[in-house]
Amino acid sequence: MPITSPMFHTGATTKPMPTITITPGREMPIETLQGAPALKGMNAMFVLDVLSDMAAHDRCGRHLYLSLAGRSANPMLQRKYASYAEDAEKNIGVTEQLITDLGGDPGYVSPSARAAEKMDSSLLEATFLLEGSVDIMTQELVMLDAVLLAASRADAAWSGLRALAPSFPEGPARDAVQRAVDQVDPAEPLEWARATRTKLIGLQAKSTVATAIAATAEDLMARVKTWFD
Amino acid sequence: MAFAPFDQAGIPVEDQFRSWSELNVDPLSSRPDDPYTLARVILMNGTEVEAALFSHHFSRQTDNPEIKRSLALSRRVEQQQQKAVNWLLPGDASPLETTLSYEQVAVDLTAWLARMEPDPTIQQALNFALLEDFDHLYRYANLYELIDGRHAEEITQHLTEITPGRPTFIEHRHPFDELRPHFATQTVDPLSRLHVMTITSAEQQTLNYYMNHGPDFMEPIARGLYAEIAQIEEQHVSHYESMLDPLDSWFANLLFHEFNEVYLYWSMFQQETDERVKALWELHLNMELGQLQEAARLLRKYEGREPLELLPPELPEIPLTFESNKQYVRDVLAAEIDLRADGLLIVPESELPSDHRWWAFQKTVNAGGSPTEEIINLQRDKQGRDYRDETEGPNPVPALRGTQDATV
Repeated sequence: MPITSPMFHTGATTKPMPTITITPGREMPIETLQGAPALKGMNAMFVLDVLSDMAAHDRCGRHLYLSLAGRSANPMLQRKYASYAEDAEKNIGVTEQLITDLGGDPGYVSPSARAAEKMDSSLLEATFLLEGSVDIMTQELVMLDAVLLAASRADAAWSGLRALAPSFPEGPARDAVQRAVDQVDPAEPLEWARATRTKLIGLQAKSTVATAIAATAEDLMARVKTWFD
Repeated sequence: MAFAPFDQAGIPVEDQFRSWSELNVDPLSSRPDDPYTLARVILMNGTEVEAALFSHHFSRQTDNPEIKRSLALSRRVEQQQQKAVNWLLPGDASPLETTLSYEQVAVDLTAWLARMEPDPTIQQALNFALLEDFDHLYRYANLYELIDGRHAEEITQHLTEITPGRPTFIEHRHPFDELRPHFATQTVDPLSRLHVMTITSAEQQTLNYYMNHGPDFMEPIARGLYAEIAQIEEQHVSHYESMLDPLDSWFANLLFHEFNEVYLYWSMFQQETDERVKALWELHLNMELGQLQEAARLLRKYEGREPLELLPPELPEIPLTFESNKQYVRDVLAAEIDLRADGLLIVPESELPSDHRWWAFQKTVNAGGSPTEEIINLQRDKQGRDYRDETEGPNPVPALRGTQDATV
């Protein structure tokens, strides 16, 4: 089981920053990050920071998908989100293994990982904080938009790593990167989200239920449940 | 045996409402056998006030009906808990006597947290403000003798010494120097998180109390003293709240608040000597367990996270304890009286450059004199001495001994 939320009790570490105080024993020394032997010739600290950021995004993705799977009213979307939650968990494991293979600490939380978590948790919050002022159909679209944005960032991150693979030192490091990128298909969720969004927009644009003034919440819910049937 | 709060169902939140007669509890004596019973009441009142304020802030950020309803439900209960706790305060105690109890809380709570704190930076922040609250107790004690002719030791019962700390007039800092580094939510020891949340709530309640009770007095010196010390409490709230990690989400914060309340009621229950109050702590512990379960449910549903991803399964082994901390306070006073704040850092005064903003700020706010100094001068003029309760010997800082001028 990969680390789904790096915390004190999972052994999380972070690097010193002037604005942060770190509990003794939880500081990741800059020299350790810079000196990862497998990344000789590269900006090792930057690479490990980015991989921590990718792991954070996958962890947040898992939380996003679990939340949406429990809250979507449409059975097909529920199944899809649950399936993506499993994929995200697998991807966390792939990233953690890559970090380990490159001499890093999978429990390390970089500054960019913290920024990624803030961005992702705000994205997730956007799917429920304003739920009272959107109708059920729009709410489904908001959740799908969150997937589209999260998948877009994941795709950019994994595609970037794939493009960078030949720059890693030849041998175990490059092999590890190649092995990792070969296990992840970041484009599929993005393509699915894009296609599903188009479909949803089309369904709603042509829906007579949604435009009926007298449509009740039950009517709309029934409609949402049968989308894609 | 360790207490595992997530294994306890507690009382369902919907079943927690009480009648007015249950909330309008009989007050404690203004001179209870154990002054720390009053200290526990003051701390838990501040904790409930923070819970209600946090819930209000959260509620203003959402129109999600389920979340708003859940927050409203728990918040109304928290407000009932606040009444049941705070109404224990003795009606025959004056605002100044209650203030002395507040400062005893500030000293012995802060000192205990500092003693137990695993992060040296957070410990330093606690020590830094400890010396300031310690000085406030001395200033209010002198006001008490001056206007009521009584001695504060009647209230503190010699468990907390009364002698100058870092003189209050020196404590006024530019707002930019009141902000400390924050912990990182992923790496912070759970105990540190609880410590920072607890002390922030306690200082916030002290600030609220002085903000509201300062104008209760006729005497200009009393009004001035409250105004000056209330501003330091504002500094302390800024100081401590800046140590919380802004990365935590609304639901994570809700969970942490409930977990901390469970820890505090469990702690109060362990050590309470008044059986009637002990029963209240037990009841509120069971109520908080129910509220914690609801916070956990919301976290799971809306953030897809398990509470045990964020928190340890058990409470800290040692309950937060009110006890005498005389030697610790003395040691900190002797070693750290000359420390000042410089941006995010705490440094010796000798390291502040001559053009540092601290000097300019001091000049501005102390331009017409400082009520916290005036109260000691008035006492000396009237009594030929200031009031102290130094049970362990003279003040550890030579410059603060006897009837010498309380300045360093």
